[in-house]
Amino acid sequence: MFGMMEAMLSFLRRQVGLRTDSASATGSAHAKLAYIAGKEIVANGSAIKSIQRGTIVLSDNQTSKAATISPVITEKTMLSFLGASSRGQTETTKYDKTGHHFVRISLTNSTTVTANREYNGEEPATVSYEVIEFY
Amino acid sequence: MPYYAQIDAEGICFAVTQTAGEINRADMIEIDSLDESILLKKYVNGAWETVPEEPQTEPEPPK
Repeated sequence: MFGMMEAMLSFLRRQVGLRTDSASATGSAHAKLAYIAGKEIVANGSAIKSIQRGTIVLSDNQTSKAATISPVITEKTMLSFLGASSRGQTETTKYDKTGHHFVRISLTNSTTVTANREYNGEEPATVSYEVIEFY
Repeated sequence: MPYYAQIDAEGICFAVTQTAGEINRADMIEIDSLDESILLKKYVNGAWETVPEEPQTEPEPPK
């Protein structure tokens, strides 16, 4: 009987571990808790590492423009398009009147956001974006 | 988080950005806020000057 109790206590000690156990994803419960607590998502209270925002203007003769941001890890970063605006245009074809409005953006590399459009229409276009990097 | 205005070779502001950290580049001017009113203005001796727009030509009326 005593031997069985001792075996059960020994099993529990191994499973729960000690507060001094080093962090491990496969160790005791204490080690696993230390492992989870050490994760940046938990330590910082958020999965988001950084948010950057900006606005780029493509001037009247441009179809592409690149803005610089703080370095991000592109594999862990999303780029949000917040909208674009442009003035009307007084050309004669429908394509000329609207083509310069349609702007797209891309995270070109770790420090660059680029705005592009197919047609400048001799009018500037303004585009806003948000860069969200995760841990 | 710092704010920057980015200027082209002529000193014209083409982007304003709220970055995650400090950026040290000659074409990035630190500003106080994400102020979009300085877009397309020229940076001259520490101040933003409005660049006069070229007059647009009116389309010819249909004949």
